[in-house]
Amino acid sequence: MKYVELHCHSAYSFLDGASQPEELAVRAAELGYDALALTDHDGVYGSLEFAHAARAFCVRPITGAEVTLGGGSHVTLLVETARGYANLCRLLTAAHAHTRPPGRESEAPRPSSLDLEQLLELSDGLVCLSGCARDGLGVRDPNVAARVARTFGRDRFFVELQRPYERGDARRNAALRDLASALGVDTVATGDVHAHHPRRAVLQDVLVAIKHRASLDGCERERRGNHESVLLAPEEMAERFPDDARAVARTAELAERLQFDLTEELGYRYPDFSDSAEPADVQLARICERAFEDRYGYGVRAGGTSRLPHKRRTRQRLDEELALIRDLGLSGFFLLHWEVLELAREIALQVRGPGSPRHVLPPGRGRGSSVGSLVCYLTGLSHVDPVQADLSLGRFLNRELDSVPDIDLDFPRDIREQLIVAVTDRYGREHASLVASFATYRSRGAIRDVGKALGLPYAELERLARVTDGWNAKRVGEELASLPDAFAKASSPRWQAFAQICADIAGLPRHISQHPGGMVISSRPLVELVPVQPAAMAGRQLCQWDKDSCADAGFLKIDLLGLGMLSAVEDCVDLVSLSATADTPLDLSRIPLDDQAVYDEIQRADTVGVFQIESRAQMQMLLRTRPENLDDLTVEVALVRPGPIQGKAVHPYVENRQRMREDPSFVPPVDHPLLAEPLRATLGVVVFQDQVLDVATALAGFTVGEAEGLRRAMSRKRSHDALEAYRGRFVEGAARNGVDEETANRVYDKLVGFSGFGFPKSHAAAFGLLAYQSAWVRHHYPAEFLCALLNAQPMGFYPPASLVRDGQRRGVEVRPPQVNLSDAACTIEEGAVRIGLAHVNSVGDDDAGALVAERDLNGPFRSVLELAQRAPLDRRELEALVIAGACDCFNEPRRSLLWQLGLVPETRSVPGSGGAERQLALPLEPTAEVPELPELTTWERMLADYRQTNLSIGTHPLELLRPHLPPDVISSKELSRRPPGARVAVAGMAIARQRPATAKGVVFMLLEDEHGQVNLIVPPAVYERFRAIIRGEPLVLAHGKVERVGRNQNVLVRELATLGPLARSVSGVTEVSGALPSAHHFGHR
Amino acid sequence: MNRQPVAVVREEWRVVDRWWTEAPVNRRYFDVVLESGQNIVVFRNEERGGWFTQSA
Repeated sequence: MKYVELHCHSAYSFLDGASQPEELAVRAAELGYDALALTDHDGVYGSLEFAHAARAFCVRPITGAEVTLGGGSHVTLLVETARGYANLCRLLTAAHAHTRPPGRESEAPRPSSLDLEQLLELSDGLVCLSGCARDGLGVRDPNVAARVARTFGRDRFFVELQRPYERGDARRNAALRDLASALGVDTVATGDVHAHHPRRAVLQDVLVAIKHRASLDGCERERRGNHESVLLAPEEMAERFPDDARAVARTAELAERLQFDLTEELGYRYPDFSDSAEPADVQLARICERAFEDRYGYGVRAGGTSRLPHKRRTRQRLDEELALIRDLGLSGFFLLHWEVLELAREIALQVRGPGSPRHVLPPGRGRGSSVGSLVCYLTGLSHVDPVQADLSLGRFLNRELDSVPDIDLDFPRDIREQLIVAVTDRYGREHASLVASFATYRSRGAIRDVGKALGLPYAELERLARVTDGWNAKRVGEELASLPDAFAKASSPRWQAFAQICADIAGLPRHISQHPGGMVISSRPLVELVPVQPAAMAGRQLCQWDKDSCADAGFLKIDLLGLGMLSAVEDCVDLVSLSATADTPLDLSRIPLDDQAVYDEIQRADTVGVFQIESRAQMQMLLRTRPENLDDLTVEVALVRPGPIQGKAVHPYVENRQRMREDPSFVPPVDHPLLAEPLRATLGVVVFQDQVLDVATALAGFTVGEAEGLRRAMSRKRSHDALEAYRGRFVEGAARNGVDEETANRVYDKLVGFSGFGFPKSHAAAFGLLAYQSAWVRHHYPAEFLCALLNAQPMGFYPPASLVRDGQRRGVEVRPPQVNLSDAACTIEEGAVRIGLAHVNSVGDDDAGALVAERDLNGPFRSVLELAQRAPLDRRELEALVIAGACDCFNEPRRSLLWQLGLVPETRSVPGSGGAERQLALPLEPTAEVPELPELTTWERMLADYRQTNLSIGTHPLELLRPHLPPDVISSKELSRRPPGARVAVAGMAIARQRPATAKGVVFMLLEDEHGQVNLIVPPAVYERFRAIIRGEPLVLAHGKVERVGRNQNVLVRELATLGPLARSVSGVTEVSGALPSAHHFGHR
Repeated sequence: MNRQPVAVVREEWRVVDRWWTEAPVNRRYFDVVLESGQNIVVFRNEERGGWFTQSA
């Protein structure tokens, strides 16, 4: 008997379906299904992924969704025609439209629900089934079912019979048969599948518990009660319906009608300006000509250098590029990006204000290979003159291009925030949206959610969550086995189930969220191609597909990314331009790219605060690779990434570079001569993602299509198996080129190791440039750079305190916050950095701004009492300002100022104003003399600075502790004079801690003392013994051995101790550790 | 059933529950009418075998 499953949920029925779409597709093929419908709750999130997977396994995919109607009953909608798919997308869009009411976008979304009238209106091309056994429309509301049946007609409406082996099946199905006959329609049998295999059914129980925030014991009513709702063989399903053979047979007949194929052309087109009066080619040429005249029209630069030859070369390049773009039919593509940039320009003008020196800056910048295109430069998509910088068009545009080129745009955060909404509004809410991203289960989330559902003790789950490697939930079982009480746990059914279910839940999507900035824009309404739903931020909306599905559908994705460093560098340009010494505004696109002084600093790893190359790992690499130009920096930012590390590229690269420095004629070895060319620029190893394709093409003769498939498999979360499937083709192809199997496998292993965790070269090139630019402004304008970095926090590798210390070491004067001199943000004052009032903890941006506004309006504050009177701050904020030293200008000890504040009555809000208006404090004149109060000690002052502003511009704690440390403890300065292998003791404040996934449990720590920094390497066994100190203590003493490789220096730690008790006894302050900033943590916990 | 022949099986259902505990439940239930006319619910314990009656 033929049976086709027409009602099936994947994990994209969030916290309900227990299997990935691929798992369903593979299982359906195994069980002998010809076709399978995916009908997730209120969405098609996984439909395209499913359709591609099903096609690959020769199962015909049917697209659909189980839609919730107002009132809570469900109907199953199946797509018959293209019109039907468009209608389904519109219906799902409508069902989600009210899930995030205005003003409450960030709250938990309301359940989606579809208005019945809309369903009846947009029913064309859809088939409607009456829904599931529990909540189906046929069961819950037969009268409404009758209305739906009338609209859809007997061809397109069926009453759904299910047999979940629940008590009451017989009575319910009898009633449904009666309903069908009363309505004059037919019945179909369905399985309401929630898992691809019976062994996954326990996970389904757990998902229900997680969804209802309950334990398994506490959600008996919501659970299914047995494990029958899984994908079974067609024959087994037929056996479940002995009295309904026609309803079973009808599934196959109906499926035969549902021929709509989601994997085929959906009719997407980006707005390509083809409908405007002037052809796109002409428009683009006109825009470029105008920009060309602006840039090169004068022929002579301000400095007097003739630019005529440059202009001639540029003119030739422009003509070539425009012709190529015309031939490729991409003028509309560039116009679209230009238009988005123009929109950004308008927003930038609003955000920056017309008077800002930032107005000369472009509103954003391209990262990636677009930097090589003159048309991109002239349309504002990139910020580098490619002719002057001698960049080739190469990868970005060529005659063999088979898809649209990739343009990613970076924006300062403030501009990007508004641009996303503006793009949506400009192209229309039916035409533009963000791309979705799905939060998937990793180990910590799995441990917490699954453990809670199983009712396991909270403390034990937290303990496990802390030791886990953080990523792969499939390994939770192994981690459990390494716990001291593993044996006891192994005999507990709950813990046994826990390990298995964590492995099963790994990688399943938990909920939908926003992609960082990918937008799709469509000239045909997007809401007919994919449903669109509101995002958790006002004005934003997202489509139901992630970037992979969007790419599969052929959507053009424009990435509008926010970059903290770009904000910082822009802010820096602003500050430089404001300072008295600048005669012309600083134009970053015109700075020299070969400043030796900047490269000297980079080669010394003097890069705290520099974009991308400031981390401990990057610094160590800089000392060994010694970048000399932008190309080297491009490799540098791409090298310290999990891809090249796991692909075993790092050491060979470093070694080859060193040998080439010593012997310029040295030729880096490669696994096979065929790889010499594709890997020449990176000294014989794979550093960039694009090189994977080059290797596959050169060694294994992959076609463009095969290489593209491999690239996809590598870049995707879900296809490790698919990646292995390409191995056979790779080895075979290599054999045809005369490469032996062992070499081919070795190369392929490296590619798999690299898989996906690397940068494309173009991306690295843009990041390398920004790294250089930030190093350049840091070198030439250290005060402005520090100021801008502090204002852009949180970002980067170092806490603000370390940035300040680094600035001071480089001669930047840093001045404390001061109520009569500071702005809300940090500012430049006589060449020094003045810390802003908003940096004082518990003083918010708004209140700091209000204080400054009051001061600007009515003059400086003359006493702390006057400050309390005039500034709209509450007692807590005023006290914080005093403790942070911001009121030291009143020339009274901080304790005395606090005493005076104590006499000020609390401000109260004006009744009826809802707290918006506050009555200012009217302090009484002190009736008593201020008593003699002891001044704060140096310790107290320093700790107060850290506590209140997270930084201290004065004394370093180690300076105060040093005299009390054991005599064998040496400073960071002395360390460099000790030979390798020497046993040493070092002390310092922990500022960063790193536990990279690629380092097999090794922890890296960065200590700071009064002279500089020390790198600690903590082996796993030492980490286990001293975990509490490593994770929680700011002041530590480390014993270990000096390790020196080239110019790199580390202390390999043997033992650690806390300096907390010593600091307490020396300072006489009970709370030392709590006042110091905690170290930044990176990587796994 | 109880030494009486079954006239009709009115319904069959299944319960799989408490699999995470020391006492998992895995039962096949039958709602039957005996030839005597008596209506009873019986289940088979799939975990440990054996048939049991339960009040209907």
